[in-house]
Amino acid sequence: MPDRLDDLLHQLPMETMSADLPARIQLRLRADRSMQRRLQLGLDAVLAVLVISGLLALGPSLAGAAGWLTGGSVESSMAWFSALGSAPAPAVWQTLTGAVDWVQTLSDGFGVTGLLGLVLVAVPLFTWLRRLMPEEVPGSDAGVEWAGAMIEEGAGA
Amino acid sequence: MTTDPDEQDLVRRAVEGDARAFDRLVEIHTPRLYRLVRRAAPDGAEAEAVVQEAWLRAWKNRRRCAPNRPFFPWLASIAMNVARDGWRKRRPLDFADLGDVVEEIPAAGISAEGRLEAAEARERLAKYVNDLRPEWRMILGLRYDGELEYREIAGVLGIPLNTVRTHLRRARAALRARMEEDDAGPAG
Repeated sequence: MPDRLDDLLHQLPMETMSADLPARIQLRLRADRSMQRRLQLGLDAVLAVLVISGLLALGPSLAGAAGWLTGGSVESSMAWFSALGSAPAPAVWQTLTGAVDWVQTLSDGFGVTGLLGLVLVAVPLFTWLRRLMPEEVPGSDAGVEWAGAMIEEGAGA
Repeated sequence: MTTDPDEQDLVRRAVEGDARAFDRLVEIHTPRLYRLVRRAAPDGAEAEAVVQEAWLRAWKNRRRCAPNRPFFPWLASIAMNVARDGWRKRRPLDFADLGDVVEEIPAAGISAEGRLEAAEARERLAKYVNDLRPEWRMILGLRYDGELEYREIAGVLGIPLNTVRTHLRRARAALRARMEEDDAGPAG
């Protein structure tokens, strides 16, 4: 039930804020947004350079690995399925060893330069993809954990 | 506190990155935010600095704001977070020492205020509020200047509802005691 103290507390005198405070805040926000845009552009430029460098590094390696990347055919797949039907265990074993060989040959074909190129392309792509995703689920509070944490500390003490 | 559909639309646009919508929110909410921060801040300059920083953080974290919920409590929580960074350096805030014990403070002592002129009483009360612990001033600011409900204050500060009630009771009891003491002084 509201009492006199409540009434007084609702009407406490308060010095008024500077009339231009909202305008100053808006100016700061504009400056901050502008700086963020410039930083974003700079970062995008660096990432673009990384992608181009990565593609240049990948070029020769991709040519070498192309044979292995497109090695499969319909006939070989059909043969594998028929082998799987007649003798599953040897077929699976052969597939596994084939896969290990394939990875080994692919990495040999790529070489260090190719792998470096892959990383140079992948990192910017992941960075851009991450930017497209929502940072947080809306509804989660920015919150202030500090007071709650202190309460819990106090309760635990 | 209900959510005005117009404001909800503004908040939704701001969350999506519409700078003009966010600037409009700055115009709407800054006076109220200043009042509640100023109640707890030692001076006006610091209150303005806290308010500015709170808006900057609100813009950076705008995606965390839920447009279907009232905007002001979310903003207030950021402002309180900014404020504690500064105040903690001087003296750690302590919401813990009261526990959840709810005391019944008799309201009879308020009768002393009846003898004071309203304006004078408010001036004196404002002075007493300034003498309170920062965390109590913060809660009083949220309640009386920010006009938040108890559950909203609990959400803003991340403390249980009963603790909010306890803090408010304690703060009001302290204020009553000061006013009674002050009133009894010249007479006795």
